[in-house]
Amino acid sequence: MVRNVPELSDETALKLAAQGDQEAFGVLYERYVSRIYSYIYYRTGNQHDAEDLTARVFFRALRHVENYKNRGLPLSAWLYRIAHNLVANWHRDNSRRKEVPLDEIILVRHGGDLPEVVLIENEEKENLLKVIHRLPADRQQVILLKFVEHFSNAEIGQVMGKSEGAVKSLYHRTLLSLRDDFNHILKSGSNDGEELG
Amino acid sequence: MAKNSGRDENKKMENTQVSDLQAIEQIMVSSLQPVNPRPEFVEGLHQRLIDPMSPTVRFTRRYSSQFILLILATLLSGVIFFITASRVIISLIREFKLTNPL
Repeated sequence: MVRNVPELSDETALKLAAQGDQEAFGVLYERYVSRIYSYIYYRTGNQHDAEDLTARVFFRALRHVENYKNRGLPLSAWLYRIAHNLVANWHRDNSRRKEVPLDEIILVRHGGDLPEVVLIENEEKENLLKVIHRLPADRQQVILLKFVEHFSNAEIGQVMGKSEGAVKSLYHRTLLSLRDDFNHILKSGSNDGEELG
Repeated sequence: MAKNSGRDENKKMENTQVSDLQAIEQIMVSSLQPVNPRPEFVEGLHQRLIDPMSPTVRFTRRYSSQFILLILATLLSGVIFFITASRVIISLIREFKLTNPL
């Protein structure tokens, strides 16, 4: 049977994958691997664990694809849920680790900007990522799904199993807490500078 | 009068809060960019998913031939060691028999 595999819709590819069509699962994999990796990368902060957990997400999805039933939950939401659970387990297993190393690829990105500008921007980003990593898991999830994956509140709600209103309110509270933590970091940074001066 | 100034202050605070949050959002928009996985990782995982029996790591011909040479050298040294060791043991037994004929 000849078919244009990459043009399959998620639903069709899922049905075929559930019947054991590995090529169809491969299509879904190609479609979502970068997004799932990116999400996990920001949650773990390093490439090695992000690759390991991404692999586990897709192996788990492959194992359970037969049981997947579309109850209004899109495939992407299902995959993000698996990723979220695996990252939560990872954090629990590594709970002794206080600092999450952030690989340089997140930070240094600018080719043509002035070094001073890049330095300030990187410092700002580093502070932001530190603050985000200190947030509770559900708040980190909201921020990453919104800004990295560009999900709407309704889509985030589908992933997290919450209503759109609940996501909106959680997002607002997260923003307020981020602002306070960010200001705190900036203030402590400037105080250190004054003390040194 | 006092009521009005209170209202103004509240409004000012609200505006500051909104602009603060907008600034945080702006930083996040510029900072949180998607991170792409390594192409080798994507390809390797694809292979592992659709064909679990396929090797997860492929070596270049140069590495493969070096690996084969290493295995051959190990086998050869093993054989030489075995022959030498057995000859030493045989000569030791002979020596022992000559010195203690009973």
